[in-house]
Amino acid sequence: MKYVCSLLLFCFLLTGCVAEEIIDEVPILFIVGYDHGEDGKIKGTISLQTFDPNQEVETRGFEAEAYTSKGLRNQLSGLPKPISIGKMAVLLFSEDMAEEGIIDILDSFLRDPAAGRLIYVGVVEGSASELIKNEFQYLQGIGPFLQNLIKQSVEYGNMPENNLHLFDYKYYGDGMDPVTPILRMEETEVKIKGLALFDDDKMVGKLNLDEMFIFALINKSFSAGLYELELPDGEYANLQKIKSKVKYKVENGNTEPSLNISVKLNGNIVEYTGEKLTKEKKTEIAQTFEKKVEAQGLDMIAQFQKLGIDPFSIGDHARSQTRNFDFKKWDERYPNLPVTIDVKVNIGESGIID
Amino acid sequence: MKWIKRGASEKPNTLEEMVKDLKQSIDFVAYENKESDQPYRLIYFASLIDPEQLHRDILPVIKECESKSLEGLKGILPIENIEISSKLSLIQERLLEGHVAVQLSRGQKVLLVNISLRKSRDLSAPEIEFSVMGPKEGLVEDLHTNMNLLRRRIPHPRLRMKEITVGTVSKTKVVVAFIEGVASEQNINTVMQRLEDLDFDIISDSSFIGQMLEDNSFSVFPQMIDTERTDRITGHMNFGAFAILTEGSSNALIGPINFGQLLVSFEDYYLGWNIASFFRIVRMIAILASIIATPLYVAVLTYHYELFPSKLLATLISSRSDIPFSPVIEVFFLEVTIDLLREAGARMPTKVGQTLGIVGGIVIGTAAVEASLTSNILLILVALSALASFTTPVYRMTNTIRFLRYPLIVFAQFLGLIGVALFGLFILTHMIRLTSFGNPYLAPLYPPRIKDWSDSFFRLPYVMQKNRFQFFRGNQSTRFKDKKKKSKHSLDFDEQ
Amino acid sequence: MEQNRKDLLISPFLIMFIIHSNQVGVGILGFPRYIAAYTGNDAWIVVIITGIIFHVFIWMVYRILSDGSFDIIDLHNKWFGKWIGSVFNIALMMYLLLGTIVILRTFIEVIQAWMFPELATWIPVAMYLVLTYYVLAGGFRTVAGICFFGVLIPMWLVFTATAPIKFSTFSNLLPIMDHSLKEIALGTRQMTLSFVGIDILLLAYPFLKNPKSSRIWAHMGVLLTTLVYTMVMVISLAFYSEGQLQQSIWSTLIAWKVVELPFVERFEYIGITFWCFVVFPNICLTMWGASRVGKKVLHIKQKYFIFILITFVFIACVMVVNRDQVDYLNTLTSIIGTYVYYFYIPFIFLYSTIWRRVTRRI
Repeated sequence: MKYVCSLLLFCFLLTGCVAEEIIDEVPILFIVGYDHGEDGKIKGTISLQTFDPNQEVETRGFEAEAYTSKGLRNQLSGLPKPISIGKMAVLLFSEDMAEEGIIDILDSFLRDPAAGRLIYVGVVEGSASELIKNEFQYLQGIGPFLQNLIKQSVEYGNMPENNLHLFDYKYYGDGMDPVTPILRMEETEVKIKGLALFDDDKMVGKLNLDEMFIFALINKSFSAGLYELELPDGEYANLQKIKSKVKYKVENGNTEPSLNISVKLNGNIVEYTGEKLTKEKKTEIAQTFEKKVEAQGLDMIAQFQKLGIDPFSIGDHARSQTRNFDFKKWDERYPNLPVTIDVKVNIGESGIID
Repeated sequence: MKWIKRGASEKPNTLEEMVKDLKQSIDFVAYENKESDQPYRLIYFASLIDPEQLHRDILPVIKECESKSLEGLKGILPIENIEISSKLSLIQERLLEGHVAVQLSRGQKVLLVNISLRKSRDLSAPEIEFSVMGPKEGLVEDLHTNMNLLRRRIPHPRLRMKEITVGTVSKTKVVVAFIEGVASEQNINTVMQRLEDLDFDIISDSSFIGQMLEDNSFSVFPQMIDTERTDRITGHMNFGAFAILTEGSSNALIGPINFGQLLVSFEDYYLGWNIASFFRIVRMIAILASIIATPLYVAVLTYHYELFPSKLLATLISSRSDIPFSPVIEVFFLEVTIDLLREAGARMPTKVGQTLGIVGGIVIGTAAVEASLTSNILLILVALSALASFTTPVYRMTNTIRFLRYPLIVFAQFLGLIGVALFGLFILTHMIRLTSFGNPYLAPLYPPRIKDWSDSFFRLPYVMQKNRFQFFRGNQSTRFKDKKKKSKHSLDFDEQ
Repeated sequence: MEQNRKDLLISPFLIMFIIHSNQVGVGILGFPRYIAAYTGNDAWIVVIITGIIFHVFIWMVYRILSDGSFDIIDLHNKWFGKWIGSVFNIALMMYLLLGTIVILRTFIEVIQAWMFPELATWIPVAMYLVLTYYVLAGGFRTVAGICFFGVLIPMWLVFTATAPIKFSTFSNLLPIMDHSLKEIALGTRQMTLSFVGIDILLLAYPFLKNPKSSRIWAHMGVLLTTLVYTMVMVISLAFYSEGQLQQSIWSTLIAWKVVELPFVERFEYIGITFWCFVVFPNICLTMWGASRVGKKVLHIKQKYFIFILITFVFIACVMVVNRDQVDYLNTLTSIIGTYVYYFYIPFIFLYSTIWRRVTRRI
């Protein structure tokens, strides 16, 4: 009996049945950029890396146009197939594409089981195609470089977390809207310029680096990087390792809602341009920071209310704190929602000198 | 008796015919002394007897014997177990064992005196199962010496040694040693029954017996342990196993065993329990890694490259970029090379062996990478898994590991990770079904016997190992009495 | 009643693994979506409620089987006579076969959708069925062994749940009990499909040593299942927003995409590989049950009957070709499962209690 079993098992060896994707024969894409093409088509640009035995990396950019994202594969006939998006790391959209809505293209990546969910979505000021095709002399190629750039910004600095999963989360979720980083191509490098604000899947606004930082602080309990604070007397102080603890409280979600955000910040002073850092100075710095965060926060929320977007997920917070939450009524009341922010800053360390 | 071609030899009917038949061999002697008062004839195989004993003990006695009968001789000869017989088959058998047949005056009856000479190796350290700590005493080919070594370690009256002769032509003596009352009767009866049912012509080594006594001869997993070390044998006998010693073989077979015991080196018992447990776990991980490392390489690089983080990906692709083969061909090439090296190294004469080993290993490896026939990452993987397969202390297991790797590679090529999983399921099922003399192979993991876990993948201190393993279904008597609790020392001056 | 040979019996402790492995199958990979469709953020409460209901079922089953070492086949014959009893038994066998087909085909569909789109269905089906034959040829002890390892080996996957927590918002679970009882009831009914699996106890009972002491272990099995499902549900609710969850067919698998280990990135491939170990006990158990019914009712030797069953399952699996048909099969099984558990088991529970009272009085 065991003979028969093993024979059967070995018979199957005669039938080759699965498509191979051998690691060094498959073109591995890390990044793709989408622009407007002609006749309403999408122009897709990719950057392909070749790996040398000496571990030197060469990159080449390819372009193609089609009506759908997957349709680009047939048009990229200069590439050996099968094109696989398994290692895709960054998706870039030009501003005009972003303003028209990007969910159709994202759908292609959400639907395909080969694509990951930690892909970063970004908007490019200018042309995504130019950015990708430019020879920046980055050692790893533009794809891994941008992936690393965004990842480090999120981990160490000033950007709120964002990836394909979170974009999808906020797009499909009620009472929330997605955000993505904005990139810009300067002469010899690519920089992060700020945060793009979306209304569902259409881009409607921007935040610059400064505002982005405050956004990240208020959005969620966060552990942020560096912030340069201007003091009323013209001096500057630099705060680092700022930890924020945020609590959203929505009262009367269904009837007459009002929002109170309480922000507790904890930071260390690492640089001070003035003379001596006395206790009163520290309190002053704390108070200035508090006022700054509050003012900028309220400004941002007012801006969001005017644009009709909700990147802070206030609607979601309201939902979690109200029974039988009514989203329709909320949408009507959102633009006039009274908001208060209470900020409390605690200065921790201030260095080894006074 | 069809072992020999028909008509090649006739069965002798009389003693004279037998002597004439055997005289065709140069080492057969039929010495007749007609000159003495008592004409006697000595018949023996000169290559089997001890000539000193013949000259010193037998010849003088025969010369000085007064009574003219065999019984009288038997009375004075200073050797034990003398038989008197006229049965031809018995006489032939005894002659071939090293007895000398004394015939007085051409009578029909002969006196059979045992003066056989056993030549065997001196005691030496075990070559295959080397250990840093612990006794370095290994068995030799002589059965009596082996029994001596075992009895010295367990001088207990209940250590039974039962003998059976197997092999119709080689007439090999096999001794089953066990501690009555500790080993389970069921196991002993099973093994004795199987030995009696054994039908084979020449038994060259104990492993022949091992293969014939196995529960499942299709399995690549060893169901008995071959060992040369006396401490291991007696240790297992204490747990409830039995040992099979074979004349002419320096390996003893221990059974029944379970899978855990194949991964356990006896040296673990000489190191401390915590260090030993750590190394046992390292060994298990090493063995698992050794089996699946190269198949995973094939599976992931052929089908699932997305599994690697981007940085690792760059290294892998660079190392593979110049290689014209697919991963599976690469892997087969290297695996076959390493197996070639191993096989050749095992059979080369020592002087040539070392040089060629270095040449083979280092030069071929480096050259293969330079010629872009393989990648250096794969070379590292293959070398490491070959090393890891040797961490198992039982030699048979290394062959099993080697063997199991190939179908896994085939399945990995065929169906990627799913193929590896499916073949893994097959091996798992096989091990669950496997029994060693009726005892489940995967005990104490399955069926779960938690009491046995104190000495399986980790080892608890000796004081905790009071009870014997349930696996052996033997007598559950305890191994030693509990010590009384130590009285507490007080650290303070005031307390008493 | 046959005197069961001692060496064929298994330790009662193992029933925990048998029940748990029979319950956890492919459902866990995608069930949050269906429950959340009815009950939104209170879906985790539904899981707990269903778990409690199944504890009650286990209690009922033990009461049904409580005297002697009978299995349900003998009991059917005893209560309803030979002919109607046989009808019940054949129905049980068809139900078990349907279970095999559904789980095997759904898992292969997962492989086809996620890993190897060009993989022909018959190849993994054939391999699984050959392996199943190998297991069943070793008797129930081997089947129980596969269940044991089928729980032990994939157990470590539980630790990968920490990765989605990084991206989760647990306030998604608030406010608690924001749904009506009707929605919770609908959710419970939907959840039943993932909890079915204790019916194997009806057939495995004579194979246990000390069946009465195995009761606590059976409950532990269901408890373990409930815990695992609750954890998956809670994390799914926190990880996905409501609308997103409704879009994601295989929510657990998608959640694995965010796991990042030092050597490995896209964890769902490893998850699916280990799922081969989770699914295999289900197939073995249901085939074993079906072949046992066949042996006792139709008096065909178990060895040959397994062949017939294997061929039947093979043909059935190969005939199901696309996602919609697989979905339909799952819905069908869910409906039948609901009837089996909410009608049949209480029915025979009452019947057995009354029968016992009546026969004791006589």
